Amino acid sequence: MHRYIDEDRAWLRLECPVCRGWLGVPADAPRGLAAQRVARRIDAFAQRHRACGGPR
Amino acid sequence: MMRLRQFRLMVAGGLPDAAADALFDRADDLCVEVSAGPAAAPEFDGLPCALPAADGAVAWVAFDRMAPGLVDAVVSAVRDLDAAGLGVAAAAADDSLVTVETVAERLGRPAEVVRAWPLPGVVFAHPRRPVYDWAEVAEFLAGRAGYRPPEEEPTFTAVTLLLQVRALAPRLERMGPLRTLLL
Repeated sequence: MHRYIDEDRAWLRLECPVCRGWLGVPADAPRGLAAQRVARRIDAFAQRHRACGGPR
Repeated sequence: MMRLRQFRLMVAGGLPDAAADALFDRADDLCVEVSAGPAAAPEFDGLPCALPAADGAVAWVAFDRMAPGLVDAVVSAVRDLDAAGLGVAAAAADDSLVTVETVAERLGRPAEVVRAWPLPGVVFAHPRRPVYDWAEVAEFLAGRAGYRPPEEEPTFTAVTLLLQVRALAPRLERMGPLRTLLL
């Protein structure tokens, strides 16, 4: 999974290197529940793209 | 009472970076996702919400929004996409893939307690962060703890139909008489 960080942006972009599908998440989610919710979105995205077979 | 409301809005057309910038400048309780195509997002097959962009991609915005009601949360989310210049095709249920922390938050129980339960529906057995299918987990919870998931589908269907009417409005002769049908 590729991660792109743009200092000027309020969000991070995670991209599947195989199919180019991507996920955008808040760059500065506060610790605690908000961070857990973002982590869940990342886990679901990663799971969806396991079938693509790209590097993780 | 403010509660966590989790759902998705399907984007009509594409989701350019500039629109994502506008969304994240406006709210931090959302994530955006673009799938390479309908085949990569099979859960949306057959739904009117699957309106792929010109390049075949399917885009949606997932919300984790605190609101007094699901309707309030969805309407405010539609306004967020409106402000970002995005078309909204439909409201849809939340992602079916959940973590232990998601289950715990929905139940109002500590994650440590939920982690000790024999949860079914493991989609990915990661040693630290397993992913589960929510439908199977909810069925298990119904049998174990009498859990009843909130009825959300009528809200999503109503919002989707209203969005379709809104899109048709410029082509209609008059909206006034049609509004009376809602009463």
